[in-house]
Amino acid sequence: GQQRLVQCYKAEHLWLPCFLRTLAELVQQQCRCLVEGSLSIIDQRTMMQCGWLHSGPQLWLRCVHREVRVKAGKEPQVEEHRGWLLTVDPVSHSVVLVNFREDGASVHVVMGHAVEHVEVLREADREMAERLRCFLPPKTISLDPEELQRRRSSVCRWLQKNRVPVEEDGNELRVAGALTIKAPYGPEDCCSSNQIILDRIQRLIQVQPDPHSETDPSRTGITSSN
Amino acid sequence: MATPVPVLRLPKGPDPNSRGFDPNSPRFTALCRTSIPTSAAAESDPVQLQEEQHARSVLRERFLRCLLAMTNRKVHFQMHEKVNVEATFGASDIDVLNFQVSDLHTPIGVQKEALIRCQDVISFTFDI
Repeated sequence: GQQRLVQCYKAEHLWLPCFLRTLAELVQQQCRCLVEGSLSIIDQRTMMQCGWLHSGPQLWLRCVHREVRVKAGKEPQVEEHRGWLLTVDPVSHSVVLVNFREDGASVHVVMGHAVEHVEVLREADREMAERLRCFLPPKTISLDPEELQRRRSSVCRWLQKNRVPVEEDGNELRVAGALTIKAPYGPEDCCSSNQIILDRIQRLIQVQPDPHSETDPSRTGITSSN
Repeated sequence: MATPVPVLRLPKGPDPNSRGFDPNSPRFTALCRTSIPTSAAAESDPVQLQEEQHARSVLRERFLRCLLAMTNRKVHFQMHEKVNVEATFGASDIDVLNFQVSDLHTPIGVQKEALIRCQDVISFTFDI
């Protein structure tokens, strides 16, 4: 029975080349765990010492959505962080952890060059896995062309009402030849190299009355009293 | 809010761009590798290579979304020598070597705009 367990375990670990613990150590710990009656711990508690930087993206992807403990920094400034692994950047090897609190979440990023030690602690249960899955901001919702057209015209009319020289240019709005507004025509979608124009147009778009109910034709942004 | 301090012009070092940003400087080439290369196992096997590429792109996309979530938020940086500073995150460069931040609260005052070298940062935190 024990022999078979060791063989299965060895197969799994040959598949993950970066682990530095020797097989002997693992067998020892496995025996200990069998005695304690909790075999499941051995599968999840894995130590990745300096091999972390040399582990591949495939291994990192497998560790995503598990709780990890990360030791960072060198003596005497060693920090220890614990959290749910969101991702590992393949470019900088930075480790992104998240911890949920009652009033939100706290994200902690450890730079790759500072990571000394990573230990996987446990898997996420279903509720936590779901929470982690929904955590990163979703992809931007793409609006259908009609809605975009409507919004573009609405913003164009608003700017013209405020005596801003604007014209439609394909899917974009061009203001005074110096600023471009891309879909979906919000304040963050303005691009310009002129700081002053950018600021003014952004503010103007921000105070635009609800584009869905343009009932008051006499209202303009410049004269509104705030 | 504290008044920003005027920009300090520190004396130049021996090389041009001696503050460590020049890609040809020895410090840069020694410390700032721009990306991890493909693993040896994957290089020889196209199936493995494809899997590795897929893993890399998934991980990188998630990381970029984290960076996006961080823009215009207050971020606390833990740096070497127990220096902890707070700033409003602006942007990162493609290799995650420099961060552009605003309102950097340093021990000598508030810097209105600053560039932080990622090699100097150990970790950073922000709340969502």
